[in-house]
Amino acid sequence: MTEAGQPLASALIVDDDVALLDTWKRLIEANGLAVEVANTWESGLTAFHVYSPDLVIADYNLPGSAHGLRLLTEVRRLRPTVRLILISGVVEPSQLAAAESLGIADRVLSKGESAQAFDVIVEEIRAITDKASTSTDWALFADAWSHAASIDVEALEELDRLLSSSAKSGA
Amino acid sequence: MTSRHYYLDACTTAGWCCSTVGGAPPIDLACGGVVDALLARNDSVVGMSELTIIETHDVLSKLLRSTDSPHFDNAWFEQSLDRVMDLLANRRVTVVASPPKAVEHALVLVRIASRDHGTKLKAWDAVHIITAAGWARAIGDRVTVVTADGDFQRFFDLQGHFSALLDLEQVTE
Repeated sequence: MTEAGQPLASALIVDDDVALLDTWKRLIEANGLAVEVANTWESGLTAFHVYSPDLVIADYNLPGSAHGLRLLTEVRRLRPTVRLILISGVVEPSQLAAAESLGIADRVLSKGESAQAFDVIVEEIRAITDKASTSTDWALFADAWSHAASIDVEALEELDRLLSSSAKSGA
Repeated sequence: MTSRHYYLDACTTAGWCCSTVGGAPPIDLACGGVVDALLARNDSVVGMSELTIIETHDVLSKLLRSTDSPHFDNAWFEQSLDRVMDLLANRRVTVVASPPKAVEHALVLVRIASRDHGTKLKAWDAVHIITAAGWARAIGDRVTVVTADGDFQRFFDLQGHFSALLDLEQVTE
């Protein structure tokens, strides 16, 4: 909590669409929540190092890296209990379930359904903020660690293929 | 009046305790001078963490056990702990809580220091930085970490983005 009684941000959104970031940040704060934002892969990783958020929401297409998947996999390796959400402007709504089932991100959201995606994000940030004062569950952490050590490269490539094919088809 | 916030690490606090003994080394005298000056100012908010308290106690205990320093006797040890506790009791120094997942966060910083920069970051130094940074976020203002430990500067050189929240005041001889 801040001295003014506001929650400290436990969530980080990384997206190169600055206008969207500003809007989302403002609306999230209007909901009594807090969020850190970054607009490149590097600044997202930097913010992750400094603020150590419990929830990272990253866009698939991030300048400064091949894609947002790299950010999410790096976060997963460093702090495997962090909840990860991938957002994409190119993924077709019909592909969301398939993308989530690959297990790289906990959730995959479509910017094409922007209002719905935003509602989910607010709900996720609220849930993570409510748990922000809890200390590390080391049994959970260790279990997640062992899974993160062997991030499924095939699943990663499949998710990348799924998202890039959507982009090419102009979804 | 705008207050400035200062975070004391164990190196500085222990140095302050050691500055009272006869023949104290220059670095301890410097720590004593810096901390006394901060405490005398009415525009400074001075903080330390539980880690600072226990690490300071650890350093003082080691000095008490050392046989080559007659100055560090039991009376000095008790008096030093009393001085630290007096600061807390009269609220001149506030105890800053470490974030609940500070160790988990430190794990990341220690790991990337070695993996990405090939350098050492001591675990408890990471926790001091995380705690001071958490304090800065909570107050919405910058915090100055006061330390006589050169490792902090090396960490800041590598992880410069913490400078968005923290300043470093390096105590030197």
